[in-house]
Amino acid sequence: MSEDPHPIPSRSWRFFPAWVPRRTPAWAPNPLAAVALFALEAVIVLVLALVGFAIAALALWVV
Amino acid sequence: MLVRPAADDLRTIGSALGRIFLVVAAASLVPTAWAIAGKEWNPLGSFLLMGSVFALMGVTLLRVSLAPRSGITTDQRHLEWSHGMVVVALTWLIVPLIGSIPFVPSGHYASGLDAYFDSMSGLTTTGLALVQDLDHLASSLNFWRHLLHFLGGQGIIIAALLLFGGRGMLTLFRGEGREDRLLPSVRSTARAIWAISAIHLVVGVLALGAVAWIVLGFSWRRSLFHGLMIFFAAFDTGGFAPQSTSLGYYHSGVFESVTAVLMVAGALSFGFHFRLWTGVNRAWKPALSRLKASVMNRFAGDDPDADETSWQEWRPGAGRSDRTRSLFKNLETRSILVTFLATLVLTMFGLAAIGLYTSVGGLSRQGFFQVLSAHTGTGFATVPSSELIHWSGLAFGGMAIAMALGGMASSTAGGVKALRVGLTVRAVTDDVREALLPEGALVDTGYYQFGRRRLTPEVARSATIVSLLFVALFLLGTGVAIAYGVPLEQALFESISAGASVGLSVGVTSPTMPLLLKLTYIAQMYLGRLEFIAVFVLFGFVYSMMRGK
Repeated sequence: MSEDPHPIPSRSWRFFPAWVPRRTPAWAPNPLAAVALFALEAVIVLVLALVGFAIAALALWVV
Repeated sequence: MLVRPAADDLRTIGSALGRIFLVVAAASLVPTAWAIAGKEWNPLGSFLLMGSVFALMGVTLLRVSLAPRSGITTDQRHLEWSHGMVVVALTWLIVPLIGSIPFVPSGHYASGLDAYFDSMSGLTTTGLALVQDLDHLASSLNFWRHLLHFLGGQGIIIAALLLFGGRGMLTLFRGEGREDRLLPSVRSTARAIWAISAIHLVVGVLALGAVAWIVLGFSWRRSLFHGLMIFFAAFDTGGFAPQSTSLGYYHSGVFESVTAVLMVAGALSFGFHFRLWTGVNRAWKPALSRLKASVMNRFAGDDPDADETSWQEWRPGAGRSDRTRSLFKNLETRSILVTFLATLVLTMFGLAAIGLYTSVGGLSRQGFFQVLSAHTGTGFATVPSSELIHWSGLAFGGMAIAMALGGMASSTAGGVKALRVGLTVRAVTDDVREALLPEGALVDTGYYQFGRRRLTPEVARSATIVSLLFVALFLLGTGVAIAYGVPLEQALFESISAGASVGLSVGVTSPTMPLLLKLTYIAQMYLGRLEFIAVFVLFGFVYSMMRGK
């Protein structure tokens, strides 16, 4: 009897449910990127706060 | 002619609801464990009751809807658009109801309706509260209030999608007002949203806890507790605080600064986070890989490379180095920046005119934080409501507009949303340009939103209709409050705060407010969070059950 050239792989038992990814996807966050992202958001807030400070100074000077 | 829903439709809805209730039952284990750890036996009993009710309802609905005699298996059950909308609308009605069980016997609420109000406020990430003597509320109950923000902000539906999947997930995803599909499948998108939130949770809680420990002098336990509570409220733009004086309790500019970062993070769309994230990942990954390789080489053994996922082939233009910079070309990003600066100018000039704050430091700190709190839909207050009530004229106008406009679409924020504002303004300017140009001239109706898109009449109409519905919602709440003698400015402020899921209050929201006003604000929070369509579909579904043929 010749071997099946396209054998169907048997389902191996999985410890984790199907929704747990078996391999880390490329977009998965890493700790340093988390800190960098937080720092980037802090820079956005800092820039906005500086603009707010300037507007406050202008408002008190004008009014 | 209306078609009466069939039994199969009800079973489909029932099976989806059952799964969602099981997810919430699992989530209720967390405050239960907290109550056990804190030896809070009274709240423990009510958490066990709440969890049991959710679990019982979930199991019952699943058994009934998947009963063998129905002849329908889970594989065949297809969640259509209408089913998804009804499931979402019912979820956001029933979960706050059962979720208010722990609040009722606590002695901190005047009635069951007050408890339901707070539960709905928590889940819709509004932040208006009817709790009494919050400073002495059991810590497990306080935790449950804030956990409701986390569940509501991330989306209970998203959690259910992640765990159970199923056909028709996209309808549930869209029913919660989410539009960004970050990755090709809805399940991987849901996973990405939870991953982004989890990372912010770790970094945010550590940052807030560190500030509380080092700067405020809290014990490490207290630092972690306050850090966790404020994180839930800030990142999910909810606004509940563990103390009655909200963020004013901490009297710390440093604490407010870290909170402001989390508020901004919460108001950014998950799509924005994702693209920012992958941009950072792309910059850091080669350096990290080299570091990892050198460490692994020392200890020998293979380090399997991470997958190259299919999304890189799917997304057009993937791999360009300017991907992160292009985020600031987005119509939504520019829209929110312009509206934030405009409302900031209005509020600052208004406050300067009133003369409440005479120093640049005081004016910039209070004005900036409050406008940020309003625009992101968070609702943290560094000034008490008795002082906020005096922010009249331009300051009131700036705050009200900021609250109404809200954050980015597909974020945890409420309001009309920056994308709709941008699309509506763009549609109007395109119409004006078309009128001014010679006949036959072509007007460029394109805009940039994670790629070049065309502003079709359907998109413009959809954005305008939802914006008008929000305005109608705000006016409805204002009218009801005015009928009870509340002054116009305060009525409008409170109504916008409820409808746009903000939570700032000038004192109208209180346990003694009239019953109809409480019901109105509950309805506003519900409609505002779900952005109307899912709720209207539910009404239509119920009507067709009664009158359909």
